[in-house]
Amino acid sequence: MDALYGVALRLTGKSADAEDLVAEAVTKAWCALDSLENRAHFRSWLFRILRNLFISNYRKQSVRPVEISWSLPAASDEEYDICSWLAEQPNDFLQWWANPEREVYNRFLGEQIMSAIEELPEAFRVTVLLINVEGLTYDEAAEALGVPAGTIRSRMKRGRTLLQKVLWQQAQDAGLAVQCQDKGEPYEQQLTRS
Amino acid sequence: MNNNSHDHKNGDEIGCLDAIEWLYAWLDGELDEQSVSQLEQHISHCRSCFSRRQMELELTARVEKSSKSRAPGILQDRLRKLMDEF
Repeated sequence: MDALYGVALRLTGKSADAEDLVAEAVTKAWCALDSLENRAHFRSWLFRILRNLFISNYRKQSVRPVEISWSLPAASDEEYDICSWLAEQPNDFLQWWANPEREVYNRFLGEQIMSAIEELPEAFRVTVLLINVEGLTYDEAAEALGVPAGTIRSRMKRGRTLLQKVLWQQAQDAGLAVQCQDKGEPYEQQLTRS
Repeated sequence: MNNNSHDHKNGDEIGCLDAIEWLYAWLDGELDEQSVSQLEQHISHCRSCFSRRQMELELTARVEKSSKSRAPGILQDRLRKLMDEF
């Protein structure tokens, strides 16, 4: 129930709405239990009911903060390959992470990570939560969200990149991060150099 | 930095592009044992991929820690009452 509530809270942004959403989802699942052919899929089936209810009943009235419009490549989820991903990478974030000053940032990160997650576009936020927090497999998350497993894989990759971009931006806004003076060779160039 | 190839079923060494792809699958619990072994072998001598692995591991742990929610007691009571009605 904690997992259902956690996802509902991230979807609606409001505790009272999350409670209503979970109650409705459980009620609907209970009434439709006989239609579930494979009980092994119960968890993903329940998440799917929750998400469908959110889309039909709650999305318009959601009090979620406005999501930041991070520019994303036009390619579809399945076409999002490793090269596209590398081109999006905030490499300063990775380089700074390895810097001793990161200890300062660590304290900042503890406070900011939730707001960074909240700023992710819904599709990525929900996917990251289902996989990283609730421990669903790609197949279970795919079933819960009604998309192919390849899309889940792609969303995880992009979700992580977007999260790092948000965190990096927040650190810069707070004056905690400066661009690395000696960047050396960009990471993607290192990788593509054979 | 290693050359990148895309077929490593025989256990030969992987390159950084594959290592990054596999790293994400590993973080999400989706990588098979043989690939895990090859990934570890690559990371053991590649500083870039080692750094990325450490960063992604810490970030994933922080996301998990920050996002765990407990359903309020009032919701549990509400669901019990709902179930009693059926």
